[in-house]
This record gives sequence, C-alpha cells and structure tokens, in this order.
Amino acid sequence: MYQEPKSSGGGGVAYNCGDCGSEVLLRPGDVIICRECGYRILYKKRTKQVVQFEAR
Amino acid sequence: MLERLEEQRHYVRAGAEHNANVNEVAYGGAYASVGKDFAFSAERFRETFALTLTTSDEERCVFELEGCSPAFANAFRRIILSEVPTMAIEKVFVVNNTSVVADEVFAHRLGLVPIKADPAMFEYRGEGDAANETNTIVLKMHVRCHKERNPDGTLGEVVNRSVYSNALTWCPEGSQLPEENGAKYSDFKRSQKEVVGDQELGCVHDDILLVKLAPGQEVELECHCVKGIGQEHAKWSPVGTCWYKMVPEITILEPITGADADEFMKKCANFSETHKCYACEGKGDKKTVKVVESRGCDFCVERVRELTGEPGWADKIAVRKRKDHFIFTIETIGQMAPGTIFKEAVKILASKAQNVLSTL
Repeated sequence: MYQEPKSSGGGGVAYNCGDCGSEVLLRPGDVIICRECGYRILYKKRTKQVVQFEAR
Repeated sequence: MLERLEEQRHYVRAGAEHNANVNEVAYGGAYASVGKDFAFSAERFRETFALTLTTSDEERCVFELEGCSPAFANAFRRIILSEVPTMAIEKVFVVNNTSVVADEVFAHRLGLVPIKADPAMFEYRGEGDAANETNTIVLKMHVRCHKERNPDGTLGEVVNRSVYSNALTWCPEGSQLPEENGAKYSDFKRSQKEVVGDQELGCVHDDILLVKLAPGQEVELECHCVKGIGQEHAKWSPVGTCWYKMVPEITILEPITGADADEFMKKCANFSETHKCYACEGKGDKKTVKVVESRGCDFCVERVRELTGEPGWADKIAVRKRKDHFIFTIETIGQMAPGTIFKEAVKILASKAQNVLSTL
C-alpha cells in the first residue's frame, strides 16, 4: 500500500527547501520556513515508490 | 496507336502543370479490342522482374526494382515502415528523478532510443504476460551529477553533467528492482545470455544525449524493452525513412538547335560546373543538344520539367517516368541491416498473400 513518506525520526514530515535544497522537518503548527536560508517555499519529497511510465 | 498505348502503359508524363498517364490499368482484358492481353502472369513477372543493388552500407542501401507494379513497391515501403518488428523501450520504472526533465517526458525520450537486439530472438509480449527472458530486455540506469573528490580530499570536476545512452546497461538476469508487495517486476527463469548467445544487448548508439543534470541531481530508473511494430508506435519502426521514386527519362522529341540549344543549356545544364547530364555539339545554327545521362540528376530533372511549360518547348523535350522501374532507398537507424529489413518485409508480404489464399 502507498505510505506517506515519513521522515527519519518520526517527528514530523521532511520537505525540501525550494531555494537551497536542504531538508526541513516540519511538525503540525510549525512555521513554513527553511531553517538554513529562510526561504518560505518548501516542496514535498518524491515518493520512494517506483513509478511506472509508458515510453510513448 | 500501339506506340501511344505502350507509352501510356509504361510512362507517367511529368508535365509543367500536371502529370499525365498516372493510372495503372489492372484489368487484363482492358485492351482486348486492340488484341492485347496485359493480364498479370506470374510467369511473365518471373521473367521481367529484376532487383539490382546500387549502393549499400550498414545504414543505407539503394536498389532498383524493375518490372513490377507500383503497388508492389508501395507495399514494401509501407511494410518496412510499419510492420517489420524491432525492440524498443516500452515501460520505464522511475525510482528517482530530480532532473528538470519530467518523468513522462523522459520516458518518451527513452522510448525513441534504438535498441540493439535481434527481434527474431524474442517473442511478442501479450497484455497479461509477465516479463521473461524471451520477451523483455531490461536496461537500468543510475546516474548522479556531482563534483568528483580528488585523492587529496579537494573537490574536482563536475561529473555526469550530460547523460548519454551508454548509461543504460543491460541486466541479463532481469529486473533488479526490489519486490513490491510480493510482486516481482520481471520473471526471468534463466539468464538472458542463454537466449541471445554471445552478443551484448544495449543501445545501438552510445552518444545519444538523454538528459542534462545539475550538481546534486540524480536519475535512477529501469527500462523494459519489448518487441513491437511501427504501426503501433513509430519507435518500433526499423527505419528512419524508406522511399522510392520512379526512374525518370529525359527524351528529346525533336532536335533542339541554335538559339534553343543555348537557352536549354543556360536553363537546364550550365547551372553548375560539375553538371554533365547534357552536352552541346556543333557551332552556331548547327548547335544541337544531346542527352548524356537520360535519367538526369536531382538538379536538372525539375528544371527540364519546368521548361516544358514554356511556349514551344512541350514538343521538343519531355520528362517521363517509368511506371514499372523504381529506385528504392532504405535508411535504417542501426539495429538491422537494410538488406535484412527488406527480406523481412518480403516475408511479411508473402505471409499476407498466403493468408488471403487460405481464406478464399
């Protein structure tokens, strides 16, 4: 079954910063901001599942 | 009368505005009233049919088909383009792709890469069939663009900026992706090396640019190639293209002399130093044009055809094209030799004919 990409610690979900690319752990209620560079756009991580495409 | 008939039967007349006599009369009794029988006979076909190789190398061959109907030439062309099978990437399993090229765009790009494998050694893979060693070729790719670390610990050159088709490596043991929910991505009973013998499978060309990466970007995926035909998708077509043309014949109907000869040479022959299809003999009013190369060349046939549209020229010179003599060109994309492709096409046409016979 499909599972949400859980972060490594269990505390929150990992996102990638849209500017510097570093990993940001967010828990419910956290401010959406990169701890390294202060950028406010974070991206969800890609699923660890294998995704199938048709080569057409 | 009979001369006209012969011309009508054998030649298309390429005029300035239109082509004349383009039809082919298939009905054998069409000329019974003038005592002629042009019905198709296998015996006559065997006698008159000729295939002559003009030039040939690994990727391209030019040959002439003589003594056959345009329907034959066209049937071969269509079969080569869309019915001769090859192998091509059909499924792409993306594990990771952080490049700027979207997964589905990249998958489509991979599909068009020519795969080096003899399709005769493989079977078609049906809808519900599992991937096994006789119907699927597995290629994997795992590339990461990063700065190389020098022996002294400093960072060096950026590697894998561009990913080429040589990054796709063959997995003869089948899929190397981990099982998911107990389902395997391939079901190889034995190594594919036992199926294909000594040859190494992979891409025909090593230098096809697949994607460009920035430092830190990574692509990891697996491709499954299956057998298919160009009719379903152009990626399975064994050729870049394949075409034929009717053999042109430039005929002088009445002598071109004097000022006409000058005009003709100016318009149709002297446009280039190396052009030698026509010669001019004699001097002054006795000057006469002679056709040296009756087929003309790619540069002059069209010039002559246009000239026939000028007042007075239509009775002097004509461009005609043989209806039963073709110059056939096959340009492959490297998996199969052009000769092999043509032989396959002949076999396919024969099996279609057999099919018709058995259902009659």
